[in-house]
Amino acid sequence: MTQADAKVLVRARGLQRRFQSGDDVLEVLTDVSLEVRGGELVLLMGPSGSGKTTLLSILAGLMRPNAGEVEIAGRALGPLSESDVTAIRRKSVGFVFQSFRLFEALDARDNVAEVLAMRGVPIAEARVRAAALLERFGLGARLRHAPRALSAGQKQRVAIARAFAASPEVVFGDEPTAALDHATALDVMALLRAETRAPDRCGVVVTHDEQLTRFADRVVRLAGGKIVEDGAVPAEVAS
Amino acid sequence: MHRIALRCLFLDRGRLAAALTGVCVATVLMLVQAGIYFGFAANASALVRRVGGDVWVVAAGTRHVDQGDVLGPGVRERLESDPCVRRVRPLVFAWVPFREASGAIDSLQVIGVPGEGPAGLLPWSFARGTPADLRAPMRVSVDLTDLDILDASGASVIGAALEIAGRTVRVGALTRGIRNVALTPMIFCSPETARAIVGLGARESTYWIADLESPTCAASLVAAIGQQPELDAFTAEGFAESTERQFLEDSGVGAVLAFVAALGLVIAIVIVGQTLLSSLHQNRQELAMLKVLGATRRELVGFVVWQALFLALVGTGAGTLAALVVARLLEGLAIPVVLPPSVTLGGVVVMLALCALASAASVRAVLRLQAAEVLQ
Repeated sequence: MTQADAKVLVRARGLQRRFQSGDDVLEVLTDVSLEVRGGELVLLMGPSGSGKTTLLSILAGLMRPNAGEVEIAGRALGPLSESDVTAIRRKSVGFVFQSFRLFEALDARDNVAEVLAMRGVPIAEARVRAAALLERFGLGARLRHAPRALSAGQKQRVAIARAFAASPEVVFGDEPTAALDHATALDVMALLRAETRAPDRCGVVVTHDEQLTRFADRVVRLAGGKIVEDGAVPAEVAS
Repeated sequence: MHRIALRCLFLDRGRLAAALTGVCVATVLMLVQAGIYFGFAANASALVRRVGGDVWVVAAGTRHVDQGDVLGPGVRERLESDPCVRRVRPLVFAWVPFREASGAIDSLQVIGVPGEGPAGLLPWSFARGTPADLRAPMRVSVDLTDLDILDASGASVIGAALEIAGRTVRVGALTRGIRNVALTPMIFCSPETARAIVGLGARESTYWIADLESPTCAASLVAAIGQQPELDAFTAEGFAESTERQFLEDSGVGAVLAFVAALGLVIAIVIVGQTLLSSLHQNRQELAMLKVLGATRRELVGFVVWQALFLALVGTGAGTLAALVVARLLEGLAIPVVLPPSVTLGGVVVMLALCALASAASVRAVLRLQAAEVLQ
């Protein structure tokens, strides 16, 4: 099965988003449409203020658009209540952020395991699964370490393990490598790439780093709230 | 969620210790004040409850046991003529001056009651001696806490002389822990000795206590006595309650105790509320992250509730144990503290409710948390 045959896991049509400040209206997104299929890793790139993070927030169901539609794993978010959107995020979505957002009070294993426990997995089993995932991510020796005892790269690996722990269909990343040195950033991106290859899973990552394009299948570029380029990464560039 | 909540609480152990100490101290304050309140109430009415009987006949206007006036012999005859009355007992009560061992003049309470019969054994807590030792003329009991009023100590206490209202009496027995709310000495003796000290006639008394053939006729007897302008009557329970009310409410003592207890509750609310808000603030981004990952409102509220529950249960539990210890220590200092299980349980329930109240601000804050905050 080629990516073109894979199921569309994220679909956005005609998205518009405005922010009002007093009498001023700021148009952040204008008529943005996008599809991401299973197995794809898509980078959202563009200058600051181009609307990347707003688009990511809307795609992930964290923010409502003023117009347009978003579907995640075949379910349209528009008509759903907040609690139903939350339920979709719980089942189908994972996240990785620049600043990790790990609980300092929990060790690496439990930062991952608690997400599974939230989905009804008994904590003992969740810990076993979390430990296995972290070992696969090269953190087998750091399972019981608190986040403060981990390097930035290790923290981001824990965050990625947490994002993928519950086998979501879509993983969103907001500048996940921005706080990392170059080598670690490549390392983390390679991990994200590997984890989003399955046909029932995809990734959408916001980044400024042009060097990361080689890990992606497509790069979507935004400027002034519009998609100005949406193209596959050439085979000779892709790693 | 409870694991995340509790581990976040334990992350800052200094703040946790401060919060637990606050709840603990507040619990001690509240329970001890409540214990002192009930202790004073019990102490104020102890004489009435110990003497018992069915109906107390008092001088008109008497509202508590410390303010009785002299009743003439006609009252006894009136009571004894009632077919419902089985027995009539006198209780002679008076504040009288006495000369301390140092020579200073102070006052004490003289209480003369019969030492015989099923409800007549007084005083109720002997350290040395028996009721029989108080039957001899001009023999009185002195409490162990009041021995400093005597010019005697050790084995020579029994038989020691004491000058009361210009008359010399001798110590026939020692009591333990019998003091009134003002901590003035209470001297027990026979009614005859009390009359001699106070200067009453042989058939006079401060109170007349009627034991009835059937308690069901108490109401009609009280009503009948109340018709006489110079007399009032209460059931024993009614007089005990009136005495407690007079001391605790009318004197303002109850209000002072309630104020200090309320102060403890305010401290608890502020400390628990601040701790929960602080923990929430410290973990705000992570909680928003959980919301992003699909945590429900209920799970997020659970974060606050588990922390509040932990602080409430551990703090209140420790505070209750500490309050019981403090109560014992205060009893050793002759300060009456009564903490029956119902009062203790009630205090614990109040503390738990207050901790729940203290968590309201944090619950509101966590419900307002926006998932998109993680992107900021």
